[in-house]
Formats: sequence, C-alpha cells, structure tokens
Amino acid sequence: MVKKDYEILKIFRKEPNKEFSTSHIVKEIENEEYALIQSVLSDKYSDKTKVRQAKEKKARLHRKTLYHLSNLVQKKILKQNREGKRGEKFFVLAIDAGEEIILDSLLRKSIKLIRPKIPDMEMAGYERSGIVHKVEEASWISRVNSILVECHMFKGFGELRNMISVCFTNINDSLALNDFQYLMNDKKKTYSFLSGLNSKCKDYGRNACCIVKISEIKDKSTVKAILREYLRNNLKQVYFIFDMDGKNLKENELFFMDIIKLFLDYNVDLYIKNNNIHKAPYIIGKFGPYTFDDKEWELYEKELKGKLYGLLCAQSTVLVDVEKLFRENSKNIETFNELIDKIVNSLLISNSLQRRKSTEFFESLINTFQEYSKEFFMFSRNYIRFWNYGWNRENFDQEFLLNFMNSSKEKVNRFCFYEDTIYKSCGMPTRFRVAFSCVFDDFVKDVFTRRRYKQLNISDLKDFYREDILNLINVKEHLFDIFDGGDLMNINKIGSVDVKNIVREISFILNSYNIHFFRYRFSKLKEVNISLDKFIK
Amino acid sequence: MIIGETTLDVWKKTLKFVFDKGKDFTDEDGRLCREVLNLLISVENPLKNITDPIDILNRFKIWRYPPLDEIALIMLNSKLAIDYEYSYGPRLFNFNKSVNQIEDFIIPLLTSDKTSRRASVSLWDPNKDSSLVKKSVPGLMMIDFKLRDNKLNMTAIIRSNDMFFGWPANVYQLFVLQDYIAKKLKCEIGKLDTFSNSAHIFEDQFKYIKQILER
Repeated sequence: MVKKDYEILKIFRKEPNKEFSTSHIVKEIENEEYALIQSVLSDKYSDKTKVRQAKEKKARLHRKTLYHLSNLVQKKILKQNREGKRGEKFFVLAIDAGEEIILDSLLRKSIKLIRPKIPDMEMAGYERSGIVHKVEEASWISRVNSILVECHMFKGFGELRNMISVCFTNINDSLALNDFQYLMNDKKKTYSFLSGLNSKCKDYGRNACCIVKISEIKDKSTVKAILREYLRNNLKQVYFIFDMDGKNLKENELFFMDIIKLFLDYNVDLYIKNNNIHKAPYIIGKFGPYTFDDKEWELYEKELKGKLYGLLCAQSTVLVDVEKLFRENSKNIETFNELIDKIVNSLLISNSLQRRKSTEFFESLINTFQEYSKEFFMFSRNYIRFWNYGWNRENFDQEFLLNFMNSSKEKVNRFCFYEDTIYKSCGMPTRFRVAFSCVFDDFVKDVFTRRRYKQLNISDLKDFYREDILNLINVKEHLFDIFDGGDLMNINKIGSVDVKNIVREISFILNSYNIHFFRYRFSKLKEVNISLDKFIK
Repeated sequence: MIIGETTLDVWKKTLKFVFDKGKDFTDEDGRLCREVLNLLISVENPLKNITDPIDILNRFKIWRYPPLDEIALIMLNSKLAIDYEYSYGPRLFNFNKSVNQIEDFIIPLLTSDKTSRRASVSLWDPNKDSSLVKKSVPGLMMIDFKLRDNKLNMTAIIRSNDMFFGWPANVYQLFVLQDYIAKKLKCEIGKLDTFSNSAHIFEDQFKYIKQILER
C-alpha cells in the first residue's frame, strides 16, 4: 500500500464510526495543495485562466484520491456508503461494530482500525434526538479521555517521548505535561520536542498542554525564547497553561509582562490557572477543560507524588445540549434530573464494560506503569459536559440555572457514593465518579444548537466594576464550584492594548474572584476591534 | 443462627434480626452502623431463586446494582481487572501468582477423598492485607467445602458483611463457585452457609430496609 492509502486510513482511525465525503478526504490528505486551490477560487480578483487552472487541479486531486479510495474499497477496508449531491461519494469503514482490522504492510507501519461495540443505553433516545452526544463514540470505551504526565519524573525528552507514544495510543482527547518548566532548559531541544509533539497531536487528532508553574521557572530568558519559537511556528495543537497566584504574578511581573507581549504579538490566547483557589492541574481538551478533584489531588501530592509517571484524569465523556433539552421538553429541574440519571446510569454501564476489558484495552498503560498501574487509574472521573446551559444568556434566570445544576450535581454525588458502597460491599472495590463541566464551542459547532451565551468583553480594569459584569462573574464563581470537572472563563480583550494594564487585570482576577481557570483571548482583539471600526465607519 | 429455604427468606429474616437486635456504633468512616457479631446464615436450597434479593435491590431507582455477569466474574476470573483494588478470582485461582486453590487442590482433593475435611481455601493474604494503612481488603476470608451424600455444601467466613448491599452479591458469588465446583465433581449442590463476623447495616439504609420488610 502507498502513503496516500495510509493517510486516508488515518482519517478513519480517528473517527471509525463516521462517514467521510470524498471532498473531506481530499482536503485532509492534500491539505496544502487544496488550500492553495481554494485561495485562488475564493479570491474575487483571480483571473479566469487561474480559476480554470485551479478547477482543473481540484478535479485532478479528486480523481487521484478516488483512485486510492477505490483501491481500499476493493480490498474491503472501506465501502461506499452513499452518493450525495452532484454524485459525491461518501465512504465508511467496511467493518462492523465490535470488529477490528490491523494492517501491517503500510509503509512498514501498522494501523489498527476498531469499531467497538457499545450496547444501547438508557440515554440512547436522547442521543437520537441530538440532545446527548457521546464524544469519540468509536473509542468511548476502548480509550480514555485524558492523561496527565509528570515531567519531573523524566530525565530528558527521550524518555518522555516514549511515554507520550504510549499515552497517545490510549487517549482520545488530551495529554497534559505537568511541571513542564522542569524541561524548559534548552531552547533548541525543547522547541524540537514541542514541534514533534504538535505533529503527533495532528496525526492522532489530539491536544497536548504544557503546564508551567511560573514560580518554579529557573531560566526565564530560555523560557521566553522557547515560547517565542513556539508562537512563531504556530504550534496550534499544543497549549501552554500558566499556573500561578496573585503573589507569583507580583514577584514575576516583568517576566510575565514579556510573556503577555509575546502572546499578544502572535494573537494567541493566554490560559491561566489560579493556584490559590484550585491546586490540581487544569488540562485543555478538544471538548473542554479537565481537572482533578482538589481533595484527591492533595492526597496524591501527599502520598504518591514522586512515585507515579502519570495519572489518568478522565475516562468517558458525554455532552448535553441543555438548550435543546429544554426546548423539546418542559423547562424544569425534573426534566434535567431525568436526563442526568439516564446518563449516569449509562456511564456506570460503560465503566463496567471498560473494567471487564481493561487488561486488553489498556495493556500498554498497565505495562508502562507496572506496580503503580492501580494508582494510575485511581483518580479518574467520567465527564458530563454542558452546552448552552444558560450562563450569560438573555432571558435565562441565572438562579434557576444554579438551582438545577446544583441539585443535579448533589444527586449525582449521592449516586456515586451509593455505587462505591455497593461495589465495595459486593467484594468488588472500584471507583465511580462523575464530574460536571462545560463544552468548548469549537467542538460542538456541527453537533449542537447555535451558541446562545454572550461573550465577556473587557476593555480595561474599570469594566470589572460594572454591575452587569459583577453579576455575571458572581454566577460563574458559583458554577466553578458546581463544575467540579473544571470550567473556563473566557475574557475577550478589546480596545486599546497596554501590557501593564493587562497584568493589572489578571492580577485583579487572581486576587479577587473564585475563578479557577480563565482564558485571556487576544485572538478576539483583532476581530472585535475590526467590527467596532466597521460600525464607526 | 438464621435458617431458611431460599436466599430471599434468610435475607429478610437477617435484615429484621440485625435491625431489631443489632448494636449501634460509628465506624471508621463516620457512618452509623448497626451490628450483630458472628451471625450464621444457612440457605438450604441455593438453587431456588438465588438472585431474588438482587432483583429487589434493582427495583430501587436511586442506585444501580452491579450486573450479574460482573458479580460472577469477580469469583471466576483469575485475572485481576486493573480497576478493582482486589478481586476474589485471582485469590482462588492464582493465589500469590502461584497457587490455583480450586483446580489444583479442592477439585482433585474431593475427587480422590470425598469425605475430606481439608477442603478449605483462604482468600486473606497476610503479605498484602495485614497492613495498618490499607483499608480496602477482602471481606471474604475463607471458604470451606464438605461433600456429603453426593452434595457439595459450602461455608464462607466473611469478616465484615454489609447485609443490605453486600450479602445478596456475596451469596450469588459463592453460589457461582459452588456450582462451578459441583459440576466438575459431578455432584449436586448442597447447603450454602455464610458466617459473618460482623453482620451490619447502615443508618442511611434503614428506610429502604423498612420498605423491603413491609412488602
């Protein structure tokens, strides 16, 4: 088989249950050439000859890709599922749920395609009506969502790369590198590592986050140089999360100003976790944030830190479109609780299925963590993530929001407690935890209802004293307590930019609010200012 | 001693007995516990509706009891699933990664010496479990088998036994093992006795216990 076949199969490996159009496949495997063609076609100033040539090139790419697709169909690896508008062909994997194929001869690499079988669960009706969505359905049971790797346990990037390879084959969302500052000593080596990590993330369709404790950075100029390279090369799949509190910021003000300036120059968002409020690390996934329970993290730090190379953060995730749920049913706490009960029951079943197959599914992780493999699984939780749940939305009673979320979370916690007790008394001591969290809008664009909540725009420190913003943050602070799986506060920076003022704003948030994790969005700066300019004009 | 024909008979009698006669104390997790020490429960016909107590527990909507196949697997699977802190299967079929107490001892022993009084297995591993810090250790300590009149009788010693949530699963797990061995020995299933050193229920279970007893 040839390289193109391998690239096509990589698309199906990421989402084995999904159907892909020929156009989508062309776009994925010929992305550079395809982007060039599209830029000519979408440019209204392109002359006719160029447009004609671009169209011809596009048709050629389609034919070439179709040739490879037909090969894979002939080999019974793919099958044509249907024809769409204008005769476009759509393809799916030619294996049934529960089956897997391993192809070894692809460029001397092996590629494993699996469609795990998941029985119909109580939430199936909600799934069919588009209210509930299982993330990464194909690997919902056979993979975990997120793993945290402890950088201080590794002597260098070589060892860490091996660990990352094991983790990437077992996760379907995000990998976090905790205490990454320990490895930021050499610009060239660190950048080369980050660049490799970014490529790996692209190949696997995953995220990676480097968690940096500001107070523990030793060589600030090297860190700045590394971050400059990282930003200059646009390593989009790798995120940096700065872990600090107000005191750390004050002590490192000049250094942090330089960092803000760098992120501003490249229009990249800045992620900050308030270490004073929440000690456990935060992770950015494709679907939303992850974190650990703070009390359990304390236990981990006390008894296991320094022994484990990493730990599992999240097992399985379900997304809920609350807007759609309330639109199609009565808008009350009972409706919400009924759905959550069904999801929690489904997660319990999925965990039971996962447990029974864990030695098979996670063999490489068990072999890697060896005597600490039990501890590796000890802190993980399942996630229910909410979309359009009413925060910062016009005509949505914020008290009602806090009430239904809070009552449901309490009910879920009670259920988890019972399950722990039951399993323990049955001589099957295991753990079942369900955390609440939010969903990132990028992920649900094609899945759920249009975003209904407003953005929080801040032009200067005075905005934080505005009554509407104070109320908004007040609700968010409560949500941070309910969303025990992590939440994120987006702050869009607008107006004139002054690095000193931004530091003041960040310091104000760190010192004044119960906001565990926030994103300073510089990427919106250009966008919002352009629309303001347009409005003025 | 509590005797009855089926698991449901004895389970209800036991719940009532512990509820009425038990002594209250607060356990190490801070839960109020009602306890009877050294309670022997005898099921005369384990074959009859063994899962009735589990079915009753499953009628409550506020929790979900483990599926029967998972409960059975705990007893018969010699490999330890990574998510369980301990499991009975490996201790029975691969104790300390070296001894298969069922296949290499109980079955051959009772095949060759039907009246043996030595057919006992231990599930407590002092190397792992006799620890001052470890809290999650097996409740089921020992199982004894007696083959009499071509019937395999079984007695299990359980050091700590939650009679509401735990016993229905424990008795089913034991039955699964009894059935497995009886088939290998080509004999019938006899009595199934459990001896609970601490037979207890918790305060937060009282209202559900009352509901079951009132049915």
